[in-house]
Amino acid sequence: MSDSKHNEMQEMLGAYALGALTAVESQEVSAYLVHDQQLQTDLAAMRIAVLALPLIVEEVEPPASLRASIMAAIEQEPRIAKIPAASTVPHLKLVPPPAEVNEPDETGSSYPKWLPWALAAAFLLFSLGMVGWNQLSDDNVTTPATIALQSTDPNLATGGEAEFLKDSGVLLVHFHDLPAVAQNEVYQVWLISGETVSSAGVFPAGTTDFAVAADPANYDLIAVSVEPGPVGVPVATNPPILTGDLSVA
Amino acid sequence: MSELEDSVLMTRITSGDGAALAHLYDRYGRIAYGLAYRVLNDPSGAEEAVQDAFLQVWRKADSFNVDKGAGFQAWLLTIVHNRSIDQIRRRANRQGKETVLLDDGPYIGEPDPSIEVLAGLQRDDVRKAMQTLPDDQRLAIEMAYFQGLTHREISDCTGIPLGTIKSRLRLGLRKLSEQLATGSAEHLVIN
Repeated sequence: MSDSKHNEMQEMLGAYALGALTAVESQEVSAYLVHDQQLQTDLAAMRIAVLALPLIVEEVEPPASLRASIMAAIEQEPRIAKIPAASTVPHLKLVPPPAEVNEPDETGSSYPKWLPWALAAAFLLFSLGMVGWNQLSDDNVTTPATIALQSTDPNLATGGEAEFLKDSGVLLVHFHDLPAVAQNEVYQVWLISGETVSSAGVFPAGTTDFAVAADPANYDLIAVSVEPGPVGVPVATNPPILTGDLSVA
Repeated sequence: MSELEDSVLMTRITSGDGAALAHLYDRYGRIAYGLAYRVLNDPSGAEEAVQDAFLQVWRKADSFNVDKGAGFQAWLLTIVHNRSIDQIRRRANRQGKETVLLDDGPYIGEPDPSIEVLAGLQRDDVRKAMQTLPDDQRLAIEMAYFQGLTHREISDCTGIPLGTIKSRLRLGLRKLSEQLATGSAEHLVIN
Protein backbone atom coordinates (compact mmCIF):
# COMPACT_ATOMS: atom_id res chain seq x y z
CA MET A 1 0.00 0.00 0.00
CA SER A 2 1.89 3.02 -1.20
CA ASP A 3 1.37 6.50 0.15
CA SER A 4 0.48 7.81 -3.30
CA LYS A 5 -2.22 5.17 -3.74
CA HIS A 6 -3.55 5.91 -0.26
CA ASN A 7 -3.68 9.62 -1.05
CA GLU A 8 -5.34 8.99 -4.40
CA MET A 9 -8.02 6.85 -2.82
CA GLN A 10 -8.42 9.28 0.05
CA GLU A 11 -9.17 12.08 -2.40
CA MET A 12 -11.96 10.02 -3.92
CA LEU A 13 -13.52 9.07 -0.61
CA GLY A 14 -15.99 11.93 -0.41
CA ALA A 15 -17.33 11.25 -3.88
CA TYR A 16 -17.42 7.54 -3.06
CA ALA A 17 -19.52 8.14 0.06
CA LEU A 18 -21.91 10.31 -1.96
CA GLY A 19 -22.24 7.84 -4.80
CA ALA A 20 -20.66 10.37 -7.11
CA LEU A 21 -18.15 8.00 -8.71
CA THR A 22 -18.63 5.88 -11.77
CA ALA A 23 -19.07 2.15 -11.24
CA VAL A 24 -15.47 1.49 -12.29
CA GLU A 25 -14.08 4.14 -9.97
CA SER A 26 -16.27 2.91 -7.15
CA GLN A 27 -15.05 -0.66 -7.61
CA GLU A 28 -11.47 0.54 -7.48
CA VAL A 29 -12.07 2.34 -4.21
CA SER A 30 -14.00 -0.60 -2.75
CA ALA A 31 -11.21 -3.00 -3.57
CA TYR A 32 -8.59 -0.71 -2.04
CA LEU A 33 -10.57 -0.02 1.15
CA VAL A 34 -10.31 -3.65 2.21
CA HIS A 35 -6.62 -3.06 2.95
CA ASP A 36 -6.71 0.41 4.44
CA GLN A 37 -8.14 0.67 7.94
CA GLN A 38 -7.62 4.41 8.12
CA LEU A 39 -9.73 5.07 5.07
CA GLN A 40 -12.38 2.69 6.35
CA THR A 41 -12.62 4.82 9.47
CA ASP A 42 -12.74 8.03 7.44
CA LEU A 43 -15.46 6.57 5.23
CA ALA A 44 -17.56 5.51 8.21
CA ALA A 45 -17.61 9.11 9.44
CA MET A 46 -18.49 10.42 5.97
CA ARG A 47 -21.33 7.94 5.63
CA ILE A 48 -22.89 9.37 8.78
CA ALA A 49 -22.81 12.80 7.19
CA VAL A 50 -24.38 11.44 4.00
CA LEU A 51 -27.09 9.66 5.96
CA ALA A 52 -27.90 12.93 7.73
CA LEU A 53 -28.30 14.95 4.53
CA PRO A 54 -31.96 14.02 3.93
CA LEU A 55 -32.83 15.66 7.23
CA ILE A 56 -32.28 19.12 5.81
CA VAL A 57 -35.15 18.85 3.38
CA GLU A 58 -38.59 20.16 4.19
CA GLU A 59 -41.25 17.58 4.84
CA VAL A 60 -43.92 17.61 2.15
CA GLU A 61 -47.38 16.11 2.47
CA PRO A 62 -47.66 13.39 -0.18
CA PRO A 63 -50.78 13.01 -2.31
CA ALA A 64 -53.53 11.24 -0.39
CA SER A 65 -53.59 8.43 -2.95
CA LEU A 66 -49.99 7.41 -2.33
CA ARG A 67 -50.72 5.56 0.88
CA ALA A 68 -53.43 3.50 -0.76
CA SER A 69 -51.16 2.79 -3.74
CA ILE A 70 -48.47 1.44 -1.47
CA MET A 71 -50.88 -0.76 0.42
CA ALA A 72 -52.36 -2.07 -2.81
CA ALA A 73 -48.88 -2.80 -4.11
CA ILE A 74 -47.87 -4.87 -1.09
CA GLU A 75 -51.04 -6.88 -1.43
CA GLN A 76 -49.74 -8.05 -4.78
CA GLU A 77 -46.44 -9.15 -3.33
CA PRO A 78 -45.78 -12.84 -2.68
CA ARG A 79 -46.12 -13.33 1.05
CA ILE A 80 -42.97 -14.43 2.75
CA ALA A 81 -43.44 -15.45 6.35
CA LYS A 82 -41.08 -17.02 8.79
CA ILE A 83 -42.17 -20.27 10.37
CA PRO A 84 -42.33 -19.98 14.14
CA ALA A 85 -39.89 -22.14 16.04
CA ALA A 86 -41.27 -25.61 16.68
CA SER A 87 -41.21 -24.97 20.39
CA THR A 88 -43.83 -22.25 19.98
CA VAL A 89 -46.28 -24.57 18.30
CA PRO A 90 -48.49 -26.70 20.50
CA HIS A 91 -47.50 -30.30 20.37
CA LEU A 92 -50.24 -32.45 18.95
CA LYS A 93 -51.37 -35.88 19.86
CA LEU A 94 -52.36 -38.45 17.35
CA VAL A 95 -56.14 -38.45 17.12
CA PRO A 96 -58.72 -40.76 15.64
CA PRO A 97 -60.32 -39.88 12.31
CA PRO A 98 -62.18 -36.57 12.47
CA ALA A 99 -65.64 -38.18 12.40
CA GLU A 100 -65.02 -39.66 15.83
CA VAL A 101 -63.74 -36.55 17.49
CA ASN A 102 -66.18 -33.89 18.60
CA GLU A 103 -64.63 -32.66 21.81
CA PRO A 104 -61.35 -31.21 22.87
CA ASP A 105 -58.97 -33.71 24.37
CA GLU A 106 -58.30 -33.98 28.10
CA THR A 107 -55.52 -31.46 28.17
CA GLY A 108 -57.51 -28.96 26.18
CA SER A 109 -54.73 -28.75 23.63
CA SER A 110 -55.78 -27.52 20.26
CA TYR A 111 -55.14 -29.22 16.99
CA PRO A 112 -56.80 -29.06 13.64
CA LYS A 113 -59.26 -31.90 13.54
CA TRP A 114 -58.64 -32.44 9.89
CA LEU A 115 -54.99 -33.27 10.42
CA PRO A 116 -55.22 -37.05 10.27
CA TRP A 117 -57.63 -36.78 7.37
CA ALA A 118 -55.18 -34.59 5.51
CA LEU A 119 -52.30 -36.96 6.19
CA ALA A 120 -54.36 -39.88 4.96
CA ALA A 121 -55.37 -37.97 1.86
CA ALA A 122 -51.80 -37.05 1.12
CA PHE A 123 -50.68 -40.64 1.53
CA LEU A 124 -53.42 -41.75 -0.83
CA LEU A 125 -52.36 -39.22 -3.40
CA PHE A 126 -48.79 -40.38 -3.12
CA SER A 127 -49.81 -44.00 -3.40
CA LEU A 128 -51.79 -43.31 -6.52
CA GLY A 129 -48.80 -41.56 -8.00
CA MET A 130 -50.62 -38.24 -8.20
CA VAL A 131 -47.79 -36.27 -6.70
CA GLY A 132 -45.62 -34.64 -9.38
CA TRP A 133 -41.88 -34.95 -9.16
CA ASN A 134 -39.76 -33.13 -11.65
CA GLN A 135 -36.06 -32.95 -10.95
CA LEU A 136 -33.23 -32.66 -13.40
CA SER A 137 -29.61 -32.37 -12.55
CA ASP A 138 -26.36 -31.88 -14.31
CA ASP A 139 -22.96 -30.84 -13.18
CA ASN A 140 -23.83 -27.20 -12.79
CA VAL A 141 -27.57 -26.77 -12.53
CA THR A 142 -30.17 -28.43 -10.37
CA THR A 143 -33.76 -27.51 -11.04
CA PRO A 144 -35.98 -27.36 -7.98
CA ALA A 145 -38.33 -30.24 -7.19
CA THR A 146 -42.00 -29.44 -7.81
CA ILE A 147 -44.70 -30.67 -5.49
CA ALA A 148 -48.26 -30.67 -6.69
CA LEU A 149 -51.00 -29.38 -4.44
CA GLN A 150 -54.30 -31.13 -5.01
CA SER A 151 -57.79 -30.01 -4.23
CA THR A 152 -59.52 -31.93 -1.49
CA ASP A 153 -62.87 -31.34 -3.15
CA PRO A 154 -63.29 -33.10 -6.49
CA ASN A 155 -65.81 -30.45 -7.49
CA LEU A 156 -63.29 -27.68 -6.99
CA ALA A 157 -60.97 -27.13 -9.91
CA THR A 158 -58.19 -25.57 -7.93
CA GLY A 159 -54.62 -26.61 -7.37
CA GLY A 160 -51.07 -25.47 -7.04
CA GLU A 161 -47.42 -26.24 -7.29
CA ALA A 162 -44.72 -25.77 -4.70
CA GLU A 163 -41.06 -25.39 -5.53
CA PHE A 164 -38.20 -25.17 -3.10
CA LEU A 165 -35.63 -22.63 -4.16
CA LYS A 166 -32.63 -24.03 -2.39
CA ASP A 167 -30.33 -21.06 -2.95
CA SER A 168 -32.67 -18.70 -1.19
CA GLY A 169 -34.21 -21.23 1.20
CA VAL A 170 -37.69 -20.26 0.05
CA LEU A 171 -40.63 -22.53 -0.66
CA LEU A 172 -42.50 -20.83 -3.45
CA VAL A 173 -46.11 -21.86 -3.98
CA HIS A 174 -48.18 -20.99 -7.02
CA PHE A 175 -51.94 -21.37 -6.84
CA HIS A 176 -54.55 -21.41 -9.53
CA ASP A 177 -58.31 -21.11 -9.54
CA LEU A 178 -58.64 -20.59 -5.82
CA PRO A 179 -62.29 -19.92 -5.04
CA ALA A 180 -63.45 -16.57 -3.73
CA VAL A 181 -63.82 -16.24 0.01
CA ALA A 182 -65.93 -14.04 2.25
CA GLN A 183 -64.72 -10.51 2.84
CA ASN A 184 -63.51 -11.29 6.35
CA GLU A 185 -61.70 -14.47 5.37
CA VAL A 186 -58.23 -15.28 4.13
CA TYR A 187 -56.34 -18.33 2.93
CA GLN A 188 -53.95 -19.73 5.49
CA VAL A 189 -51.00 -21.97 4.68
CA TRP A 190 -49.95 -24.72 7.08
CA LEU A 191 -46.77 -26.77 7.23
CA ILE A 192 -47.10 -30.07 9.01
CA SER A 193 -44.39 -32.25 10.45
CA GLY A 194 -45.67 -35.28 12.26
CA GLU A 195 -48.06 -33.96 14.84
CA THR A 196 -46.80 -30.42 14.67
CA VAL A 197 -48.77 -27.96 12.62
CA SER A 198 -47.26 -24.55 11.92
CA SER A 199 -48.90 -21.60 10.29
CA ALA A 200 -46.85 -20.36 7.38
CA GLY A 201 -48.90 -17.22 6.93
CA VAL A 202 -52.00 -15.92 5.24
CA PHE A 203 -52.85 -14.39 1.92
CA PRO A 204 -55.97 -12.81 0.50
CA ALA A 205 -58.13 -14.20 -2.27
CA GLY A 206 -56.81 -13.28 -5.66
CA THR A 207 -53.21 -14.03 -4.71
CA THR A 208 -51.51 -16.52 -6.98
CA ASP A 209 -48.08 -16.75 -5.41
CA PHE A 210 -47.01 -17.30 -1.86
CA ALA A 211 -43.52 -17.75 -0.49
CA VAL A 212 -42.31 -18.94 2.87
CA ALA A 213 -38.80 -19.30 4.24
CA ALA A 214 -38.97 -23.02 4.91
CA ASP A 215 -37.24 -26.19 3.80
CA PRO A 216 -39.77 -28.84 2.75
CA ALA A 217 -37.33 -31.50 3.92
CA ASN A 218 -38.41 -30.56 7.44
CA TYR A 219 -42.09 -31.16 6.81
CA ASP A 220 -44.45 -33.90 5.69
CA LEU A 221 -47.34 -31.93 4.32
CA ILE A 222 -48.42 -28.53 3.12
CA ALA A 223 -52.07 -27.55 3.39
CA VAL A 224 -54.23 -24.51 2.68
CA SER A 225 -57.48 -23.70 4.45
CA VAL A 226 -59.85 -20.76 4.58
CA GLU A 227 -59.74 -19.00 7.92
CA PRO A 228 -60.97 -15.82 9.57
CA GLY A 229 -59.08 -12.74 8.43
CA PRO A 230 -57.15 -10.58 8.47
CA VAL A 231 -54.39 -12.51 10.25
CA GLY A 232 -55.74 -16.07 10.34
CA VAL A 233 -55.86 -18.29 13.39
CA PRO A 234 -53.31 -20.10 15.54
CA VAL A 235 -55.08 -23.41 14.97
CA ALA A 236 -56.99 -24.23 11.80
CA THR A 237 -60.74 -24.13 12.15
CA ASN A 238 -61.63 -25.39 8.69
CA PRO A 239 -60.61 -28.42 6.66
CA PRO A 240 -58.00 -27.81 4.00
CA ILE A 241 -58.98 -27.12 0.44
CA LEU A 242 -55.51 -27.97 -0.86
CA THR A 243 -52.87 -30.38 0.30
CA GLY A 244 -49.47 -31.41 -0.97
CA ASP A 245 -47.08 -34.12 0.12
CA LEU A 246 -43.73 -32.59 1.03
CA SER A 247 -42.16 -35.85 2.08
CA VAL A 248 -41.28 -36.58 -1.53
CA ALA A 249 -39.35 -33.33 -1.97
CA MET B 1 -49.88 1.24 17.54
CA SER B 2 -49.05 4.94 17.56
CA GLU B 3 -46.26 4.62 20.12
CA LEU B 4 -44.63 1.44 18.83
CA GLU B 5 -40.98 1.72 17.97
CA ASP B 6 -39.76 1.27 14.45
CA SER B 7 -38.08 -1.99 15.39
CA VAL B 8 -41.33 -3.46 16.64
CA LEU B 9 -43.15 -2.39 13.52
CA MET B 10 -40.43 -3.89 11.35
CA THR B 11 -40.77 -7.17 13.19
CA ARG B 12 -44.49 -7.12 12.51
CA ILE B 13 -43.84 -6.45 8.87
CA THR B 14 -41.80 -9.65 8.67
CA SER B 15 -44.99 -11.43 9.68
CA GLY B 16 -46.85 -9.82 6.82
CA ASP B 17 -48.52 -7.11 8.88
CA GLY B 18 -49.54 -4.48 6.36
CA ALA B 19 -50.87 -2.22 9.08
CA ALA B 20 -47.36 -1.97 10.51
CA LEU B 21 -46.03 -0.77 7.15
CA ALA B 22 -48.88 1.70 6.93
CA HIS B 23 -47.91 3.04 10.32
CA LEU B 24 -44.31 3.52 9.23
CA TYR B 25 -45.59 5.31 6.16
CA ASP B 26 -47.68 7.62 8.35
CA ARG B 27 -44.61 8.29 10.46
CA TYR B 28 -42.07 8.86 7.67
CA GLY B 29 -44.08 9.46 4.53
CA ARG B 30 -43.73 13.24 4.60
CA ILE B 31 -39.99 13.30 4.95
CA ALA B 32 -39.63 10.52 2.39
CA TYR B 33 -41.78 12.38 -0.11
CA GLY B 34 -40.06 15.65 0.74
CA LEU B 35 -36.67 14.12 -0.06
CA ALA B 36 -37.85 12.59 -3.31
CA TYR B 37 -39.51 15.83 -4.32
CA ARG B 38 -36.37 17.81 -3.50
CA VAL B 39 -34.30 15.55 -5.74
CA LEU B 40 -36.78 15.17 -8.59
CA ASN B 41 -38.89 18.35 -8.41
CA ASP B 42 -41.66 16.23 -9.88
CA PRO B 43 -44.70 15.03 -7.89
CA SER B 44 -45.34 11.85 -9.88
CA GLY B 45 -41.69 10.90 -9.86
CA ALA B 46 -41.54 11.51 -6.14
CA GLU B 47 -44.59 9.30 -5.64
CA GLU B 48 -42.97 6.54 -7.64
CA ALA B 49 -39.74 6.77 -5.66
CA VAL B 50 -41.52 6.67 -2.32
CA GLN B 51 -43.73 3.76 -3.35
CA ASP B 52 -40.71 1.83 -4.57
CA ALA B 53 -38.95 2.52 -1.29
CA PHE B 54 -41.76 1.25 0.86
CA LEU B 55 -42.08 -1.83 -1.31
CA GLN B 56 -38.39 -2.44 -0.72
CA VAL B 57 -38.95 -2.10 3.02
CA TRP B 58 -41.75 -4.66 2.75
CA ARG B 59 -39.61 -7.10 0.80
CA LYS B 60 -36.45 -6.76 2.86
CA ALA B 61 -37.96 -6.35 6.33
CA ASP B 62 -36.74 -9.72 7.53
CA SER B 63 -33.14 -8.77 6.86
CA PHE B 64 -33.35 -5.46 8.72
CA ASN B 65 -31.18 -5.79 11.80
CA VAL B 66 -32.35 -3.42 14.50
CA ASP B 67 -29.94 -4.78 17.05
CA LYS B 68 -26.84 -3.58 15.31
CA GLY B 69 -27.29 0.14 15.35
CA ALA B 70 -29.47 0.18 12.26
CA GLY B 71 -31.75 3.22 11.99
CA PHE B 72 -34.94 2.66 10.08
CA GLN B 73 -35.35 6.28 9.04
CA ALA B 74 -31.83 6.44 7.68
CA TRP B 75 -32.35 3.18 5.81
CA LEU B 76 -35.67 4.28 4.35
CA LEU B 77 -34.34 7.64 3.22
CA THR B 78 -31.31 5.99 1.64
CA ILE B 79 -33.65 3.87 -0.43
CA VAL B 80 -35.79 6.88 -1.35
CA HIS B 81 -32.67 8.78 -2.38
CA ASN B 82 -31.37 5.89 -4.45
CA ARG B 83 -34.69 5.44 -6.25
CA SER B 84 -34.87 9.16 -6.93
CA ILE B 85 -31.36 9.31 -8.35
CA ASP B 86 -32.13 6.23 -10.46
CA GLN B 87 -34.98 8.18 -12.05
CA ILE B 88 -32.75 11.15 -12.77
CA ARG B 89 -30.20 8.94 -14.43
CA ARG B 90 -32.81 7.07 -16.45
CA ARG B 91 -34.25 10.34 -17.66
CA ALA B 92 -30.81 11.63 -18.57
CA ASN B 93 -30.13 8.31 -20.30
CA ARG B 94 -26.67 8.31 -18.89
CA GLN B 95 -25.29 5.47 -20.89
CA GLY B 96 -21.98 4.23 -19.65
CA LYS B 97 -22.12 6.46 -16.62
CA GLU B 98 -23.59 4.07 -14.16
CA THR B 99 -22.68 5.12 -10.66
CA VAL B 100 -22.84 3.30 -7.39
CA LEU B 101 -24.95 4.78 -4.63
CA LEU B 102 -24.85 4.19 -0.91
CA ASP B 103 -25.98 0.64 -0.35
CA ASP B 104 -29.73 0.19 -0.09
CA GLY B 105 -29.29 -2.68 2.26
CA PRO B 106 -29.92 -2.58 5.96
CA TYR B 107 -26.85 -2.11 8.08
CA ILE B 108 -25.64 -5.55 8.87
CA GLY B 109 -22.38 -6.20 10.59
CA GLU B 110 -20.61 -5.05 13.71
CA PRO B 111 -22.43 -2.45 15.76
CA ASP B 112 -21.38 1.04 14.84
CA PRO B 113 -21.78 3.42 17.78
CA SER B 114 -21.55 6.41 15.47
CA ILE B 115 -24.89 5.42 13.96
CA GLU B 116 -26.38 6.67 17.21
CA VAL B 117 -25.30 10.15 16.19
CA LEU B 118 -28.09 10.06 13.68
CA ALA B 119 -30.71 9.06 16.17
CA GLY B 120 -30.64 12.37 18.03
CA LEU B 121 -30.32 14.64 15.04
CA GLN B 122 -33.01 17.12 14.11
CA ARG B 123 -33.40 19.09 10.91
CA ASP B 124 -32.01 22.23 12.52
CA ASP B 125 -28.91 20.38 13.69
CA VAL B 126 -28.05 19.27 10.19
CA ARG B 127 -28.88 22.63 8.63
CA LYS B 128 -26.72 24.44 11.14
CA ALA B 129 -23.91 22.01 10.51
CA MET B 130 -24.23 22.53 6.76
CA GLN B 131 -24.09 26.28 7.28
CA THR B 132 -20.68 25.93 8.90
CA LEU B 133 -19.24 24.57 5.66
CA PRO B 134 -17.60 26.88 3.16
CA ASP B 135 -20.04 27.65 0.36
CA ASP B 136 -18.04 25.78 -2.27
CA GLN B 137 -17.96 22.61 -0.19
CA ARG B 138 -21.65 22.80 0.62
CA LEU B 139 -22.56 23.41 -3.02
CA ALA B 140 -20.47 20.48 -4.23
CA ILE B 141 -22.11 18.15 -1.70
CA GLU B 142 -25.58 19.35 -2.64
CA MET B 143 -24.89 18.90 -6.34
CA ALA B 144 -23.72 15.35 -5.75
CA TYR B 145 -26.42 14.35 -3.30
CA PHE B 146 -29.52 16.18 -4.47
CA GLN B 147 -28.80 16.28 -8.18
CA GLY B 148 -27.09 12.92 -8.50
CA LEU B 149 -24.09 14.35 -10.33
CA THR B 150 -20.78 12.54 -10.46
CA HIS B 151 -17.67 14.41 -9.45
CA ARG B 152 -16.75 14.70 -13.13
CA GLU B 153 -20.13 16.15 -13.98
CA ILE B 154 -19.82 18.67 -11.17
CA SER B 155 -16.41 19.61 -12.52
CA ASP B 156 -17.82 19.99 -16.04
CA CYS B 157 -20.83 22.03 -14.82
CA THR B 158 -18.82 24.42 -12.73
CA GLY B 159 -15.61 24.54 -14.71
CA ILE B 160 -13.72 23.74 -11.54
CA PRO B 161 -10.89 21.20 -11.81
CA LEU B 162 -11.78 17.64 -10.91
CA GLY B 163 -9.16 17.42 -8.18
CA THR B 164 -10.64 20.49 -6.51
CA ILE B 165 -14.12 18.98 -6.62
CA LYS B 166 -12.86 15.77 -5.05
CA SER B 167 -11.24 17.76 -2.25
CA ARG B 168 -14.34 19.83 -1.63
CA LEU B 169 -16.50 16.73 -1.35
CA ARG B 170 -14.06 14.99 0.96
CA LEU B 171 -13.33 17.96 3.20
CA GLY B 172 -16.95 19.03 3.27
CA LEU B 173 -18.20 15.62 4.39
CA ARG B 174 -15.44 15.35 6.93
CA LYS B 175 -16.29 18.71 8.45
CA LEU B 176 -19.99 17.94 8.35
CA SER B 177 -19.49 14.69 10.23
CA GLU B 178 -17.39 16.48 12.85
CA GLN B 179 -20.06 19.14 13.29
CA LEU B 180 -22.79 16.55 13.62
CA ALA B 181 -20.84 14.59 16.20
CA THR B 182 -20.25 17.76 18.17
CA GLY B 183 -23.87 18.73 17.95
CA SER B 184 -24.95 15.30 19.10
CA ALA B 185 -22.62 15.54 22.09
CA GLU B 186 -24.10 18.91 23.01
CA HIS B 187 -27.57 17.43 22.98
CA LEU B 188 -26.43 14.78 25.40
CA VAL B 189 -24.96 17.39 27.73
CA ILE B 190 -28.04 19.61 27.63
CA ASN B 191 -30.43 16.74 28.12
